[in-house]
Amino acid sequence: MIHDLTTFSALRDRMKFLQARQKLLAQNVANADTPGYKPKDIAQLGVDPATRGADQTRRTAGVNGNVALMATQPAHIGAHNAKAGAEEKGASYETRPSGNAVNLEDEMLKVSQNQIDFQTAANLYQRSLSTIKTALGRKA
Amino acid sequence: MDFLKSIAIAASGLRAQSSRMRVISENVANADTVANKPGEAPYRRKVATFQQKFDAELGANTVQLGPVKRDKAPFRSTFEPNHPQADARGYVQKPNVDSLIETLDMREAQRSYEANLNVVTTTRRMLARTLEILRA
Repeated sequence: MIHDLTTFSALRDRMKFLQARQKLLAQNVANADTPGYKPKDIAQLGVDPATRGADQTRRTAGVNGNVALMATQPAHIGAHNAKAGAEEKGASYETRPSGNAVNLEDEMLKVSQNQIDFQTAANLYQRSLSTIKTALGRKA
Repeated sequence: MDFLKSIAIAASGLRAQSSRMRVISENVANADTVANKPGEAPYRRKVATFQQKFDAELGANTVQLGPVKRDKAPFRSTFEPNHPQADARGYVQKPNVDSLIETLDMREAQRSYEANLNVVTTTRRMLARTLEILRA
């Protein structure tokens, strides 16, 4: 199967991640005027180089193929709930009196960044596909 | 398809903002509506509220218009003794609509509407890009 190739499975995961992020960003924008709403963002894929050496257990977990959620606060949900990747951001400097902390410019920036990332992944996918086609002897 | 869900969430935002726009236009249109009889209250400004609503099908919090509430601010009263709706002291009660607030509210609604529209456009472009993989 084509998904057994690491390039394709990695790109597929990337695109799935960006798709999920787009959904979350759409939710943030839609709730830009809802009282008490805090914007959410998804934790980035992969290993964060900044915290790589800090937590040894997490690193070994990463080697074993399990990605654990980072718990920076005691209230955070543990690693067993890895599917709920959406996390609320902490107190923002731009919280309105209504309790809404969505910064529309920030969200727009993220949306376009997300689109660029997706385009990159999709282009890479297509290029890899044409490489396979070339190997098969078809016109790419 | 997650992209279609993103568009649906943004669409809920568009719907909520346009409903808010309807409330604002109602306020602006009635900015000078006085009472039918002397001594009665004139038009009271309406305030649109937003609520987040968890949509189980989309798996996300969409937005919807909450109950439209009335502004509690006091009415403006102007001294017009000859006005048919003037009270015994010669004052006419005018609606508590401030055109400056309405204009700013309108701007905010417009800005949020455009932001939601931007999300729809971007998501559609991403969706189209995915389909292009199949075409190549």
